[in-house]
Amino acid sequence: MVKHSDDFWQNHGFRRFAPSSFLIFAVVLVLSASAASLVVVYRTGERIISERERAEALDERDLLQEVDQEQGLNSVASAVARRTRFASSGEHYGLFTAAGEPLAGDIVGFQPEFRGADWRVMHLARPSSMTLHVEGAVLPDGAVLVIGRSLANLRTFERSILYGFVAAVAIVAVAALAAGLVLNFLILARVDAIAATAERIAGGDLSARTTIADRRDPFGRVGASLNVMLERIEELLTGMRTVTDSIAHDLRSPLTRMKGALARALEPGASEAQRLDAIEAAHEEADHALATLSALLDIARAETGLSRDMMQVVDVAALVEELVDFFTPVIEDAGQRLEVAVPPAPVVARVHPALLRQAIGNLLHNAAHYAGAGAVVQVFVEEDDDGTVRLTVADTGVGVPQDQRGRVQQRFVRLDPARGSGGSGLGLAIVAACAKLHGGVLRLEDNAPGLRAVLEIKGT
Amino acid sequence: MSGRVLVVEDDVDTADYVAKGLREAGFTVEHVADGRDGLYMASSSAFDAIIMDRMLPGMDGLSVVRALRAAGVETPILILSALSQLDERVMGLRAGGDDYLTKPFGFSELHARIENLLRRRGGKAVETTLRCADLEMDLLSRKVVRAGRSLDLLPREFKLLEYFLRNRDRVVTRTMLLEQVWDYRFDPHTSIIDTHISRLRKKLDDGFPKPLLHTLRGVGYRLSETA
Repeated sequence: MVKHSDDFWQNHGFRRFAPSSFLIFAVVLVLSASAASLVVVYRTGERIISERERAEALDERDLLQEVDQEQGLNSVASAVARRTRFASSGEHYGLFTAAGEPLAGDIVGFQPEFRGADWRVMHLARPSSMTLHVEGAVLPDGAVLVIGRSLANLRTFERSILYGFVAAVAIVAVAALAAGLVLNFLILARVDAIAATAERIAGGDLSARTTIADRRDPFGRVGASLNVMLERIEELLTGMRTVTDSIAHDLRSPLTRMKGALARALEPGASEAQRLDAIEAAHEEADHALATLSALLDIARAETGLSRDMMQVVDVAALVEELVDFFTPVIEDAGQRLEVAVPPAPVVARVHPALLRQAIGNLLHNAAHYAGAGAVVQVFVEEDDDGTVRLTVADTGVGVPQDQRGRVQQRFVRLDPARGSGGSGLGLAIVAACAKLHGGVLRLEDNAPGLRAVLEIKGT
Repeated sequence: MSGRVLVVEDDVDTADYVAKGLREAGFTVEHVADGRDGLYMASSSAFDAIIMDRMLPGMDGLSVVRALRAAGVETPILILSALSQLDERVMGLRAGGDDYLTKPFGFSELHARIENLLRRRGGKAVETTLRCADLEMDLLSRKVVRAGRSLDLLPREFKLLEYFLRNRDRVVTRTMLLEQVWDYRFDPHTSIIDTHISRLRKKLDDGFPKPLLHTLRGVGYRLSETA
């Protein structure tokens, strides 16, 4: 049932109206600000009202004292009686003898505190229960004049303030809710678009992309980064799939051949020499499989940047010369001629020496294997003003067709399956990974004729 | 050759394989499976060589090597690892290891390297002349003479022959040559080493009654007077 009601709320879009914490925060803020201003207004209003009433009471007291001085206590008594009669609500008077006997007015219960009361809040029981601000005065013959002002005016004021506050809060709450809902709706509509894309991805549709309304606003940027991320994930996953397939294929072949060789060695009729030959063949196949594995590990390390802590500053020119020297016999045996042009001064760069050696070695190996007899193999080391180092291995052999040049940089791609005895198909992939680790690229160009491989290293 | 070798390896099969082979080759072998035990054994007792696995329970192999070197233990150490050779070899050597071997390996490869380590430890005397039978190499004048006849070697051939002479009568594998002579990672698709060897052999043995540079099937090469 609970599940059902969840669905119901969600399906009908009610979750949009759930007050977000932002909305609650706004309401609390508005309420406390209103309460604070209410307190200020109330205090100020109370003071103003109270002081105005007191001033009036004092005026009346002074007036009645004058009457007393000029016309005597009887006139005061009749004045008080008259005032009592015509008093508006909340105005009260009393006149007592020195002994406390009431002479005039509606305040009839004498209290000793009337003498000298200066705007004092007093509770009176007679004639009816009421709370008054009391201004008292003792006349020269000892009689006590009392002028009272009810607190009712203040209570009325309080009430109107409270009503105003409630009305204001109601308006603010409705306005805040409305604004919150509109905001919520706008935000959710855009977040929903992104969430929907993420859900499609989670569901397995890797081609899903979110639409971007405006690249300049934060949502547009989130959507754009999401798309870039998805692009990369899809690329990696495709790569991963290709790699797993290729690993399966590339390890299967040497393992199958190994198994075949071992079966030959185990044949009952095999001579000692035949057995040894077969075992040696199996041994070589094992090496082949292992080399494929370590090449894959190297590529993975280079591509993820894990190898970066092995970078060190070396003379790249010397490194290349050493390698060329190492490969010279192979190139000569392939019936090729080698030309090397390296700057006389050291070319210093921060590199991963082992990986770079491997990369250049692979390029030289490729030239020796695929350029064919009679080709010229040229090796250049050049350095730009900005510190970029270009290592070029060019040959005048058959080359690689333009539309294949991107492909050969991928893992396990061999251009000519007939030459199956060749490498693991990882040679150029390692070179490309090496270039990437060094912040550069591997470019395969037409050497007209032949292939020119340029490995770029960004100086750091 | 004989000597005491400490094997620090947690994988039972590998440890047995290594220990059995070393014993058959005449070594006395101690084996521990934990990094901390390895550190304790290596620092408290004298060994001629240590074979140290890279990943161990208790204490990482490289940390043990670092700790031993910091404590002044100079025993030659060969590090074994199944991790990527490209970076791990340098890291192992930086930590203070003397050699590095990637798993899986053949025992002949391990044996050749252990012999190589023991020799390096033994003879640190400065030699100016290296000899094998009627072959003589002068390291100062960089001249090579066999049976009174001067051999004209290229620098890379000189370098290769020097390595063989320094490891005279011992097995040298292709991987060792690649790593230690050229600092290049082994790749079975290239037969570069064979090319280099056949060129050196042509200059070294052609025209002499007894060959000095021998090929050991599936293992590597050996420079010696007898096959």
